Amino acid sequence: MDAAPAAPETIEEAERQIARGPLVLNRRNFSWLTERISAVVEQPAPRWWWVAFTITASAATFGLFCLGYQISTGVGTWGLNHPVGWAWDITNFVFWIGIGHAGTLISAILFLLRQKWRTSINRSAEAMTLFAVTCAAIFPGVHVGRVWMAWYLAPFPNNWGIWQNFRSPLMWDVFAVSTYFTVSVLFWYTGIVPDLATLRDRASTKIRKFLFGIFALGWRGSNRHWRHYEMAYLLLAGLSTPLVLSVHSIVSFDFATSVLPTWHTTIFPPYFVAGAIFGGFAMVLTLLLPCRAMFKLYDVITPQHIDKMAKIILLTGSFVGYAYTMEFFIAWYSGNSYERFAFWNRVFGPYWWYWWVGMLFCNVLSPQLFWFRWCRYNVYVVYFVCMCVNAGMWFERFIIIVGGLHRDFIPSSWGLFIPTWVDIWTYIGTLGIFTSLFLLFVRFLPMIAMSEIKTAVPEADVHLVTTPGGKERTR
Amino acid sequence: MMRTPAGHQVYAMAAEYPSAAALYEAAKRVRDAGFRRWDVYSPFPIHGMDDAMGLGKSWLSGWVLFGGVSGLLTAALVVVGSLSARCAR
Repeated sequence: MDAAPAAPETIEEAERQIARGPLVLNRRNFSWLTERISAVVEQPAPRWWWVAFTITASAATFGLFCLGYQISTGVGTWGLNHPVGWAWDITNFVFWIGIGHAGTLISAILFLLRQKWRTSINRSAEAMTLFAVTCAAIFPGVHVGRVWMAWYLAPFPNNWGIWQNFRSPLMWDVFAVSTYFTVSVLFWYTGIVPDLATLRDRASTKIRKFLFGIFALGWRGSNRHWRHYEMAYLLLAGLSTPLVLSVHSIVSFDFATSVLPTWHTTIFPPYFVAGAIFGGFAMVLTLLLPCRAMFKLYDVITPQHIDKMAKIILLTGSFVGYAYTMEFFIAWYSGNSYERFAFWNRVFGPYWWYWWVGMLFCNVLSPQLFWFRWCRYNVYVVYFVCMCVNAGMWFERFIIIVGGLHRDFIPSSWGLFIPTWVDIWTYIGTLGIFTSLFLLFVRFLPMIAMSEIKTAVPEADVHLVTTPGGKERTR
Repeated sequence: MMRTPAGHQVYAMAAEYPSAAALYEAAKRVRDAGFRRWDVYSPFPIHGMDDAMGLGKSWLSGWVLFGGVSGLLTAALVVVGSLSARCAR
């Protein structure tokens, strides 16, 4: 029998055993970090950026045209009809909001958990959240049909005596999503101020100096300001964390508070939140893996970062897989014939493809590749899994919504949903809006939090003492 | 009264340090020497610098708590008030 491993003799040895790899490779110093990250903003956009932007902006423009057409002509331009009153519109809403949650988790929750590895990905992830929530918010706005009456959602005294139905989850959505968007903007902006100041001080043209100067709010790097900055950051992280959990729970209530089989279930809040983080991390990697390659940021967004994100995808994907299993089990165990049929229909009904390919293969099976270290460290495998998850999460929301609606209690009411070109191109348009905004962000704003990543290198430690033989940490 | 070699009155002094650790040690010395109108500048927040400068906790959290509580009360009033029975006019 093997003896138990001996406890390390010294503290240094213990620290070496649990030491994690460096978060910035090749021992880059502060100056290198500033130069490399600022260069993305300061140099002209590379050709691939223009190619990508042209494609995405075209899609976005056509999507906006579709939205305008739908608003002016009517919701009938979509494929909605009895019995399916919600389809691509709400699927897209839940899809985009879910993606936003990963950004907030990276920014806020990983911050509270003191995970320094978040510092190279949080700025982009937060920006991704803002753009995702923007795309999401379009859908509740336009799906009401009479968009010009959307102001009815705002509670203020008026002479019609109109107050909102605060008992409705759709109303809760309005507050949850707008709160989430507001807090996310504030969090992102607070964090970016020191980096805007850096760009202001390096600005070579008058316009850049002026614009960065305005938005940097006079930041000088004074520690008296850093004190308030850190408190603000902590508070915003503390506010954002419950939002990650609550906003998607509220969104899940749109379904869970109904009476429909497959919708009316208490599993939805944790199921949706886990799914949101799952899909969101996949989207973060979908955006960051190409950016890191194009801008040569390998030393900053390191394989270790990708490894950790892959593990989170594996974890949340497993939650989602477990939730799927539980749904089927409880549907059977409940004995409720409508519930049992609804799940049988999910697997064998007209939308069987969405279950087998979207939910089972893409969501449950593909992330299981991340059990293998080789897969987590191979960017092509990671990218493949992330694309699968992106698609799978859209299919999951579709099958929940349309699958639940198209065949509910009375068979004479059953129907099918078929999307129109307006449905499809509106969605592609939001993909275009999202990616265009992200490309603009990457081009004009620092995509990596310079000040934060500097705190993650060894030189930022005040207890660091450089000896002739190398760097040692003192107690 | 300190004067520059050209005869001008010295308004302020600045010192540059090669590392966060050196800056930290220097800040402690300046704090202990009793200076009041001084500051430390860095491109990133240095952990422990607030104590090295003798600064207390930021007052921001107090205001945010006030904002949160007042926001909660406002929201609660709007929701409960609008759902409560009240006179017709």
